[in-house]
Amino acid sequence: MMMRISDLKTHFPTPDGIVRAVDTIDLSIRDTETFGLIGETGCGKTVLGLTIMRLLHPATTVEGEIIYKGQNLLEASEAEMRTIRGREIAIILQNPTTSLNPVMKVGEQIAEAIRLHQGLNKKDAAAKAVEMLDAVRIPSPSQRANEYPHEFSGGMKQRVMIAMGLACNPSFIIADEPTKGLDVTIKAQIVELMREMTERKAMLLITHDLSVARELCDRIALMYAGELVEYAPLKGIFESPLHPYTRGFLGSLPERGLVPIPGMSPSLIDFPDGCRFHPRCEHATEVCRREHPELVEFNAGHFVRCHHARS
Amino acid sequence: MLEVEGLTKQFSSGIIKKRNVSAVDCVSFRIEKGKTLGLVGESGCGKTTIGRLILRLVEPTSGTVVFDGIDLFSLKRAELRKIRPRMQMIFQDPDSSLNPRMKIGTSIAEPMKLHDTVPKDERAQKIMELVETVGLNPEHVNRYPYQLSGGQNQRVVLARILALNPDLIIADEPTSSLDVSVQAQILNLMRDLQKKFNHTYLFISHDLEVVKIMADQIAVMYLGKLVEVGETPDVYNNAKHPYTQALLSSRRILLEGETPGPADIPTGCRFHPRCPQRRDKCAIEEPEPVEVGEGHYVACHLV
Amino acid sequence: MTGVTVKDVLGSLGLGILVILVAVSIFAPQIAPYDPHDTYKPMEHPSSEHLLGTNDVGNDILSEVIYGTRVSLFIAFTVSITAIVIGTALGLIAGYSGGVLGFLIMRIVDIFLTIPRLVLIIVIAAFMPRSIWTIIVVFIIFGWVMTARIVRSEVLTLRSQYYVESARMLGGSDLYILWRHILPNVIPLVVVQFIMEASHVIIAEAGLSFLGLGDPVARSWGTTFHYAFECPNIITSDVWMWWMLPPGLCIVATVLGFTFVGYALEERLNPKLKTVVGMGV
Ligand SMILES: Nc1ncnc2c1ncn2[C@@H]1O[C@H](COP(=O)(O)OP(=O)(O)OP(=O)(O)O)[C@@H](O)[C@H]1O
Ligand SMILES: Nc1ncnc2c1ncn2[C@@H]1O[C@H](COP(=O)(O)OP(=O)(O)O)[C@@H](O)[C@H]1O
Ligand code: SF4
Ligand code: SF4
Ligand SMILES: [Mg+2]
Ligand SMILES: [Mg+2]
Repeated sequence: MMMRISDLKTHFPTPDGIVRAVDTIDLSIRDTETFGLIGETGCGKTVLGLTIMRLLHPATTVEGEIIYKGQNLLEASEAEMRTIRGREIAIILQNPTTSLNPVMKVGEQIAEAIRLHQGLNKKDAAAKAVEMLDAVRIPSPSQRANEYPHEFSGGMKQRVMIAMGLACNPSFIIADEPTKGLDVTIKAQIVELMREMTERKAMLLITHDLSVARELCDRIALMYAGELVEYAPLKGIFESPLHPYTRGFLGSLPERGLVPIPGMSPSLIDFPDGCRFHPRCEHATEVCRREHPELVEFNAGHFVRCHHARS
Repeated sequence: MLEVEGLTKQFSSGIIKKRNVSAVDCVSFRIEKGKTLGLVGESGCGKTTIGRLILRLVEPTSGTVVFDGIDLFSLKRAELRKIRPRMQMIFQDPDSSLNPRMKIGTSIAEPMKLHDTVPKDERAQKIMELVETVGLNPEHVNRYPYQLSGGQNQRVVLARILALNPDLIIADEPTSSLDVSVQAQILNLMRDLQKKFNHTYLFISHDLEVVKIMADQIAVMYLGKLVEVGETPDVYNNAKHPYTQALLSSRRILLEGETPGPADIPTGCRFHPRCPQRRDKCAIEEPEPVEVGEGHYVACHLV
Repeated sequence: MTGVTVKDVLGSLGLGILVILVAVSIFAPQIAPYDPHDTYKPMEHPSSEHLLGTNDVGNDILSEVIYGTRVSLFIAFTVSITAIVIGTALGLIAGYSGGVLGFLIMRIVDIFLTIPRLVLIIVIAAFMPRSIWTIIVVFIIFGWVMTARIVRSEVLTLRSQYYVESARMLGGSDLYILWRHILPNVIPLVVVQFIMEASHVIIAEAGLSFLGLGDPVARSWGTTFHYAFECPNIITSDVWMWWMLPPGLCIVATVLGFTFVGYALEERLNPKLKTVVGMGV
């Protein structure tokens, strides 16, 4: 087991009230698997990733446990976290355009990440950076290393982000929407690249894009209003989804009929009582309005949070 | 309804060293009334520019656009202002399509005020009608755009456009910044409205699954040029251009390389550096569009 | 996060200072114990009759400072309002029309920006009749430049927003778009610019008057300062404490007042800043 998250809560105090962006998550990620995290916008996916990396503002309240290789990350000191970030766990962020420094050469940015963690000297780090660019198939890497981010296309910037994430050979990767905003043909290339580069690593893949999830993931979890509502091996989710939200989400895909889930995702300040999905659920009954369902194992390895789960 | 012929746009940038960027190059197509043409292509290939050219939000370099028998490019400013309400565009990003300091209700009322289509005392009622048509709640009217989600803002944009009762709607990636369940809501809404009001759509997208559902006809664009145009089933089932084939099977056919920018367009067929089926003459000679079936045009040396 | 922030406290403090100062200048005749031009025994130390004593020609210093508030604030507000209006108008034109006119405006702005503002103001003021109108005109000539530049660059960004393009598509005229869609969105910037300009003028006017270029009749704080400084032995005796310190403190208080209000407003005026999630991802 690479990582075990239990009872995790991440709350943001705001003037309007407490935003419960992650409100209770339990999950485990195995050594070489790719675990997909899917859900509507604003349900807390990115916050979960940032919580694991401990990259949130100090005013944020985080409770629970994140056990990584036997160590609870939430109790690690900032100094310990610095050695873990990048070397052990790397994050590949949403939106490469804002994550790359526009006034620094691409090669230097990668080299800097390498030097911070591996204590290589300048020259070796620069050489390693070129090697990484080559590994993510950027043509003429030694020349490209001396260019600035704006000279790269969207797809190439995304490759650079991947190169940076993998530069220190981490064993756990968090990828937040690595294909967002990319065109179909470029997306296919990035998916191919990610598949190869992360074959022997554990990855938490956050995405809206179900076609990407289907290509890369071993298991998939659906997140709704700060909690997981269903998780199962890839096949289980796509072929026999149990939770009404999962079914609704799949049904809104153009190739599956374009039927939207009615209503809107709830405010994270004030969840509906009982099942958080009940105002939008066509199967909701009295018990759903009253009692918050637990995540239970319905079939082997297939977990669901619903009073009326059925296949 | 809408006929586009030889539409071309070159942007020139730089004051001292003039550099020409050929964003749209000799594009022709037509859309019948009440139908939808899906315009597909990678980002930067010139889709948005085509939309803005048709509305004359940018001035064309050459070509003609005939809308309902009127040659748009020969109109004077005042005449153009008169005809504008009949053609409307939904822009790529719903959040920046609304003035952040205007309440939703004011934004929806704006076109009625500008064209005086609805008398003052009936406006409030009309706004409520529109709000209901697009599936918003009455209380949204008094909010500001940042207090609504992307999907709701896109509905506001739709409501505002419907206030003018246009004939042609150009939708520029109307759902690309929304997630799948909100996307489904907006696309369904657009289809219902089309049935109800007999709108003509130019539907721009880079998502082929979406276009397949929305469009009667498809035009595939690469680097400023249309490479394949045809009825949706023809293009999906019988794609002739190697680029269209790659788009449709993006999982199996991996294209090498990336789209070059419109500033340095390859010689001959502009797709040849990435084309898995290129021949010798592709690098030299530019292919002309050829009709391969009824209304199905392809620009490739293979056909 | 609690309801009241440091920003709120400072902002209210600044606003309080400004309100008091404006009230003082409006009600100067009622508040001031004497007419500032009446003369009494010169060089009196503070007493119950003259709370801040009298100056070298026998004017009551307290009354002079109170009337000085009027002069200083009048100059500050007249200059900054006029300069901001001119600057905003030129910035809007330059940013929106782009063409030859916009180009010309921006070249003029560039020229002005390369000139050291205060030095030139001093030179010009030295050759013109000594009156508050001279000061006002000279400050306006230089005051609009920064605003024009800032407004123009904001208009350039706004112009490329889809909602401006939408307004054009809906059939709005240029004037309508400027008025309804562009102006309201540059106002916050303009307000902040106004506050900066006002506090700048307070300081610059004090400096100018201190150099003896102020209006000898309508005495601002700076002018009071100037006459005090010209008086021999002012620093070595205690006299500076009631002659120089009060106008000096008034200048500092005004500048702080403007600065605090500007600091608090900057965030208030931007609806998006308030709700920003602030993670950068
Ligand atoms: N610092 C913060 N303060 C207050 N609320 C926050 C903060 N950061 C995130 N949130 C809220 O937490 C929720 C989850 O945000 P998050 O970025 O994780 O969404 P997401 O699932 O990644 O969405 P998307 O798919 O759009 O990226 C949102 O409602 C967001 O507004
Ligand atoms: N105002 C402009 N000035 C210069 N180049 C532009 C301008 N607008 C668009 N372009 C260029 O034209 C090309 C096509 O852009 P666009 O139509 O927006 O593409 P799409 O909508 O297909 O993503 C791009 O390379 C873009 O950089
Ligand atoms: S618990 Fe009830 S409301 Fe919630 S998803 Fe299941 S059926 Fe629907
Ligand atoms: S013309 Fe040649 S290079 Fe172009 S698409 Fe056809 S085969 Fe490929
Ligand atoms: Mg996110
Ligand atoms: Mg576009």
